[in-house]
Amino acid sequence: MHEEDNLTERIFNRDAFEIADQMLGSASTEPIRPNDFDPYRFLPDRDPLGSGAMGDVWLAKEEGVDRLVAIKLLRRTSEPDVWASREIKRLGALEHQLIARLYNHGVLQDGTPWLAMEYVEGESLDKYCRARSCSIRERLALFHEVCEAVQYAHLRGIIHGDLKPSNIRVTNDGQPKLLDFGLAEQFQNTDGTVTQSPAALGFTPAYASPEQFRGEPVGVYVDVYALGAILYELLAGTPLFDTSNSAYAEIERLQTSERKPDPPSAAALGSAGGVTKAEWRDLDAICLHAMESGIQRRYSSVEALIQDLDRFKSCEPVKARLPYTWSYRPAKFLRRNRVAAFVALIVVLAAAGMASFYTLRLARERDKARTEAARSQRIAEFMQDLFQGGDDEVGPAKDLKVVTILDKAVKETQALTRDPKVQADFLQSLGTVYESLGELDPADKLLRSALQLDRKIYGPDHEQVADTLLKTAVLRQDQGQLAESERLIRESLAMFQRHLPKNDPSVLSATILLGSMLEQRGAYDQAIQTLNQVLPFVSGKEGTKKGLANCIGLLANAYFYLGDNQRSDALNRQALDIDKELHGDRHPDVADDYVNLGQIQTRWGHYGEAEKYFRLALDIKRWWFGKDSPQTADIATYVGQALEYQGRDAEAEPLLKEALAVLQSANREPNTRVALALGELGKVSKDSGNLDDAEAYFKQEAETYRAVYGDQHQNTAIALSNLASVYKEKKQYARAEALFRDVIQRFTRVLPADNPNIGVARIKLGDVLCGEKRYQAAEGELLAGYGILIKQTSPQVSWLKTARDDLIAVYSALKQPEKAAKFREELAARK
Amino acid sequence: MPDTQNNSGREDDGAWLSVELIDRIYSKLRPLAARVQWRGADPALHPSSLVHEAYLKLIKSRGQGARPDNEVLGIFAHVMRQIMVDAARRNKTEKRGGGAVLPLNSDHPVSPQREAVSPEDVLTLDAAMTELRVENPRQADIIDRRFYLGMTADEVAAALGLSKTTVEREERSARTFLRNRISPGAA
Repeated sequence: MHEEDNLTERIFNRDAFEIADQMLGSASTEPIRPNDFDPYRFLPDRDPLGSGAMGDVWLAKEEGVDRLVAIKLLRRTSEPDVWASREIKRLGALEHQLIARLYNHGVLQDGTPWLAMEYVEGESLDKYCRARSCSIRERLALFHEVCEAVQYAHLRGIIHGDLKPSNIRVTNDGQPKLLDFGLAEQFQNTDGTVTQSPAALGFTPAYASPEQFRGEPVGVYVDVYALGAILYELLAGTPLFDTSNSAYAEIERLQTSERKPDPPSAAALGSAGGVTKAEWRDLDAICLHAMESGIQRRYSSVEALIQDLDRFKSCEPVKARLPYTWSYRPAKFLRRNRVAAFVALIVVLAAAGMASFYTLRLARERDKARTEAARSQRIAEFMQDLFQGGDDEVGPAKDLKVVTILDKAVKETQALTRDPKVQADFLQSLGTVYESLGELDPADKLLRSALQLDRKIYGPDHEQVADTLLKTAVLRQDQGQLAESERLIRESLAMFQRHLPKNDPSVLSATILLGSMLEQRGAYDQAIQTLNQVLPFVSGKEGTKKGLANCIGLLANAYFYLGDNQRSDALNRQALDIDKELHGDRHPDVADDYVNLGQIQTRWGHYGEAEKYFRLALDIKRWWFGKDSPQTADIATYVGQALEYQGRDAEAEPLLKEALAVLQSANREPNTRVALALGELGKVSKDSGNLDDAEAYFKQEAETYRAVYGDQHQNTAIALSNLASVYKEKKQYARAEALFRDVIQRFTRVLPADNPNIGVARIKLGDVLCGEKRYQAAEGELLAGYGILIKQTSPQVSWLKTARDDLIAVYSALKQPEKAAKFREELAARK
Repeated sequence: MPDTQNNSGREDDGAWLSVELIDRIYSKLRPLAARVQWRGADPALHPSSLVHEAYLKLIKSRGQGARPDNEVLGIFAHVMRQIMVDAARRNKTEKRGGGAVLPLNSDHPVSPQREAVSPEDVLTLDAAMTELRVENPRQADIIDRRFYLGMTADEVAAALGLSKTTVEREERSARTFLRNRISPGAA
């Protein structure tokens, strides 16, 4: 044997990795220079500007214009239609000083897609900071600008999807510029699913969020995470993940455990650079909050991140420091008076043939409600942790700081007696901060002091006093003192009006606040009158678009509650246009306008139209919040309901089930959204003959409403009525009869005698009695219900038909043919 | 260390490997894959993408019962071969001219006097491996893991659910097969 000569032994005695290393080392790594194409001439003797998974970037001169451009040649040849799409054109429309422009794009003859982008001379963010040994404050200033640019794009519905330091160039004069905006998303399929590998998608593991690894659709939250990772790197001076080594083991660990990564200060120790320990704690909190592995726990937008950076800069308490657990609790909120009237239930009659009703609140208000709920919840938990001590992670020492800062500020402010104007100003600001943190008692104290001081300085009748009164009015709303709040708003408004022109922003905002207050307490006519007074100014050149959107939104809601669907529809369309102009096509506010329009279509019985609007809203919310977010699930429920109304139960069911699961897991406390989904699922199950399922769903629905609104609320009764209908279907007549009688009593207690709910319930009871052949008793109920419904115009016709059919049966059985004939005639006439 | 089968019947791929093993291979393989100049149209087939995707699959499956550990090792080995072949082909066609001998790394601890491996050697072995896979997939699996991924005989035994002696016996047999294919006269 000559084994030592043998190739197999030669190879096998060596390490394959080493062989591969050497093979690669001597292989050519020169990328092939592309050929020129019009109007671009690639510069000779230049290496590519960059190479990535998506392609190489080359420097070229654009003829005619005589400017340098960066040409990106992409490696993918499939789906060339992506490059002709509307979406990519939108990227070209991104015009921001801090975002590199996309000049042009196309596909070469061989199928290579190309993009011509603004060439930015400068260094990548990390290199720039390292080369100039930027201080933490300089780094934060750069980061702040980056966030602003990202936020600008988000408001236009464009996300980056692959933010990282190397995609951020800093020019010689210190201005950051973002490259490759929106390209990552172009590789997503239109249905939102991702079929390509992560590398093909172009994201960079070290800055990619956990959901990107899971291949989920990209949304704004992805950019929030990446910004967090970039901030980490800027603060720590080193990336969170060293990608050359076992980066993925690290990421896996973070993904599977809920453990947070070590804070940036841990890596940055020694190079603190003019930042105090306390400031580090804030920066750590901001960074880690942006990098939360769960979307729901992250900053909900770049805007929120920017706000915290601003607070940091102005030494205010940082929101990220508030211990967070999932805090979406509408039920809690509903008990709060501030918005209780806002969310006053408007029950409207639902689909023909069902004695079902649905609760409707316009989405805009609902979101306010949500914000409120989140806030109060966070505060509650914060206080709890404060008193209990908590664990090491969110221990009191750290969190106490929020309060200590404020308390210190209060003390310092009280010492400012030499400069009472500033002192008054501080007292008012601090009061407002406490108010926004939900700490109403200290807020109250501070605002009282501020008001006292204002009056001493400026006299009783001054715009400064009016301003503090208005802030106090907002606090009274929080405290549930609506009447007092309204009184203060009026006082403040009158004072403003005495001193300021009627188109002054202070006058306008006080008036709009009054309008919303009136709407909250159900004085819709007055609200409309008030809002209409300022509308010309708000929509004039004095007003802001945001103010206009608010004003029109409030008007749309007021008309909706008044039942003026036509006007509400027109106003909502106006609001939609403004919101689109303000935020682009894919903003949650735009989605809310769609929801409102859908609700109006539902009222009109145009369920197909309603479905269309709800689906538009659903797409946006999915994109913005992710598919597992309760915000998204809410809209999915609406879509499910619209489908159910159209009799498309099979399509509705999976949608509703998914929504229910999300809502239930998001929020353990009973809430109306869960109830709505349960009710719809109950109807779908009943229609498809799954009576056991239907019974279970309606029982849960009733329990949920009972927990939220109380036992005597009409929604509880409606759910019980649905449940009774299931008993009837199951031929459990005795049970059905008892429950219907209970339901009718409940309705009678809370509703006017001619309310259609009562009519429907009595007909249902009559129907059950008919089934039991108790014709005498049935006659009474049927006639009573018939009498109520015959006066209604809208869609309970099918219950009228049931009543007639049953009455004919009753009179035939009772041998009263002439009465039977009468209803037979009416039946024929109504055909 | 590897659990033996769990109760869900006997699946040959059911061996659970240690996280450290996969991470060790992954962390060696990934930088190599990243250096490949990919000319394919579909970036999803870039060796980096393949390695990364396989790894992610494994991560995601952890804690969910099914463990595609062995499948992932198979992909890793496949990518490793692909990297070597791709680089060898380039070496052959590019500037040095065909058949250049690679420099030795003289402080390699295992066999200080080993001879150089040429691009042709890599390509020849790869062709032989393709035949082995057809003839005897299990032996090909063993060579994949032992040689291309540098796993120890113990690790391969655990991964494939075989005894160590079986692995060693099959490996000897595979080497004989490969030797015969590569230089038929030497047998």
